[in-house]
Amino acid sequence: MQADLRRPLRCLSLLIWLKCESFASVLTFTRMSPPRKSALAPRALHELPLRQRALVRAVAAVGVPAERARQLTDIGFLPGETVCVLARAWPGGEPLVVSVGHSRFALRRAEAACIQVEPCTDGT
Amino acid sequence: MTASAVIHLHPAGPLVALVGNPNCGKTALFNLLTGSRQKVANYAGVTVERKEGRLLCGADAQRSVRVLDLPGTYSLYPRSPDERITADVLAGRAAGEKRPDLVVCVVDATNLRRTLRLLLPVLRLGLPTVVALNMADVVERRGVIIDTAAMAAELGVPVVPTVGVRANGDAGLRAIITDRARWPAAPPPQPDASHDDARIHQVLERIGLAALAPDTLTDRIDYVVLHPVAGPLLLALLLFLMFQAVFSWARPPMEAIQAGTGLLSQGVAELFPQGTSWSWLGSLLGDGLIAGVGGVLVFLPQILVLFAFILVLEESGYLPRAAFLLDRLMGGVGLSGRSFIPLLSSFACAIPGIMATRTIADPRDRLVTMFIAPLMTCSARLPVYTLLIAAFVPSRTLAGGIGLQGLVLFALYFAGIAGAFAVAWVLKHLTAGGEVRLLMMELPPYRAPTLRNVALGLLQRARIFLRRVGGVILVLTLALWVLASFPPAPPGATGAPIEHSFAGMLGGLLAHVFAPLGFNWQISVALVPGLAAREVVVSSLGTVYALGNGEGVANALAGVISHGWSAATAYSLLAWFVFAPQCLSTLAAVRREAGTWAMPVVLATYLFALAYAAAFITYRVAIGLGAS
Repeated sequence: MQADLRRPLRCLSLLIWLKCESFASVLTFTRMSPPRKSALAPRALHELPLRQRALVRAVAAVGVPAERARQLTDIGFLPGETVCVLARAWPGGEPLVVSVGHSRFALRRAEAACIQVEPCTDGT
Repeated sequence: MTASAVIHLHPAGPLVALVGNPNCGKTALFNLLTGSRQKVANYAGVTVERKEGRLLCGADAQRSVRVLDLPGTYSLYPRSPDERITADVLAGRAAGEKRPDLVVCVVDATNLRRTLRLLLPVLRLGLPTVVALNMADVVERRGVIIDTAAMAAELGVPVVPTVGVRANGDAGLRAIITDRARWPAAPPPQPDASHDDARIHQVLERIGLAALAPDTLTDRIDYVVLHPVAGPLLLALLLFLMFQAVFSWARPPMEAIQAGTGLLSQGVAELFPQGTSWSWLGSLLGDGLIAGVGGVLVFLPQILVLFAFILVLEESGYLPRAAFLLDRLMGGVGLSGRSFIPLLSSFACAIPGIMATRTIADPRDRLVTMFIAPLMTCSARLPVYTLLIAAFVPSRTLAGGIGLQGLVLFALYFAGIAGAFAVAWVLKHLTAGGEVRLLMMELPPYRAPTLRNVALGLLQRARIFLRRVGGVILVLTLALWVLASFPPAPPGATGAPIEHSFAGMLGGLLAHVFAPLGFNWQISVALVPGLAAREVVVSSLGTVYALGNGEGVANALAGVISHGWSAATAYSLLAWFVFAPQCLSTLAAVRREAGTWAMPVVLATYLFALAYAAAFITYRVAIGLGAS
């Protein structure tokens, strides 16, 4: 009886361990954007890895109403400003929390996609 | 409850307008300058209408200055109705208001680069302008002292440091506003917008703020609060704790109030014994006033506990984070995280919630948010819920120290939220296009809630509640007492005299409508004055039962109904109140914001249908399950 129970129990504990592993990877934010491009290539803000600092290069409305670009510059997304993705909601990676200068904004992916950035070389 | 928005009949006096980015402290300064008590909190979009106050210049009341607090805006190109108010006032387009004589541009010292981007367009308007450098103390604590003289020289307008959260923090600004001789002339013609970036950079370089260290504490807190797993758990835990506390913390003061009203009604009954010529006064005081008003007053502690939580959340800067965490969820029903704060405000009262929808840029989203705001359980419904829960749900502690009553309350709030989401989901399929909605929501730095602000906020809530108790609730309760006492029972009539009164007759009629829900005639009567203020349902039940039981003494209402009603009726009434057609003042607020009567009519109709259906199903299911 005892021995019969042990096998399924071991399977179960393995399963739980695996679950914990995937949970832990979420906990440590490791499951973020895959490194398709070289780390320092210019890209849109929403593609930036978490906590990678970058400089804004340009803001242009792509696939959203034209006034979005003006609204983004109004709230501080200006060429030369330092930006950084602080958090992504889960699941789906949207919305994002982005720091710009001394403020933080929650943005949709489509909004962040309007902002072209260039990752900083210091890698922080 | 609603602050009067626009006051047209004002003596012409100089007009000063406060302008600035959202959440930079305009209203805190306004309160200091004018001695007002407008709501202040740590998130963007608290002020959604123009508020007016007066600042006396010396002892002479004739020479006072009118001060206008305007909704915050990021630019003079408005994107939502609240920002439009500010743009209109500055351009002199606002109805019933002249163009300001002096603009106080409030800039956030911790975020100068962005706030200067609003200041420069404001200067281009050509109005005399003073810059209030707010939160100067926060920057100083980070080791930077801003040279306001250098800043003034760069910008060409006076710059005064202010601290909106400290008494007397407005001294420098007040000195300028109250002394017309110190008002600046209109600023010189400004270079056009293409030079803004260069000018801002120059100003920041000059005052040494080009590289201010960021606020790392907020980042560290956000690491947990915005975490994809820990964040939502924390939010759920917070809300759960809030509803548990409403029951457990408020119990001792509630029992004290109950004991007090009990003693009072006993005293009144002894003072005016039955059968004497003054017994009607005893009935008025005992059955009407004490049973009715006292029955509502008992809930003050619970309302204060609820608001203590809400105020701390507002002050700390947590609310926009919660909106961020819930954005996906809201997106599923065709709304955005922007609808969260108006909906959360509706837990206090639907009226400020409906006004807060002005911060929503998308007109469809705004209407849908207004449409579902009344489904959020407002604090006026709390007395009804807790009365029924106390009467019908045993005060038991479940596993893990969770109180069953608090759990039921949590479930009722949750039912309202689920109903709201369901309605929004239906509306999404009826009306929404596939467009991507604007979010762009600022997450302010965290601030420790100050005891003073929370205490002031609670005091204000208590005052609002007591004013309702002493005003509309008192009047309606007394009116109901009259209706329930006259005409007196004819001689030789059987049953309680109240059954022959106007209220009894009305209840008898309404009972036909509500009988399928399991409501007796007493409940049906109580629902009518509940349209004016929902707490009145409790006071009305108190009066109706105090008169009906003929003892002339108000027993504790919970005890009376727990014997008199079936559990199915109680659950049905709870279900009714989750969706109940909202109070008349909410409908009036919707009419004002939507600009048409069609909206409140549709709203009232759908809520009535929803409440009726929910109560009917609950009643039938409860009966089927053997509740009696």
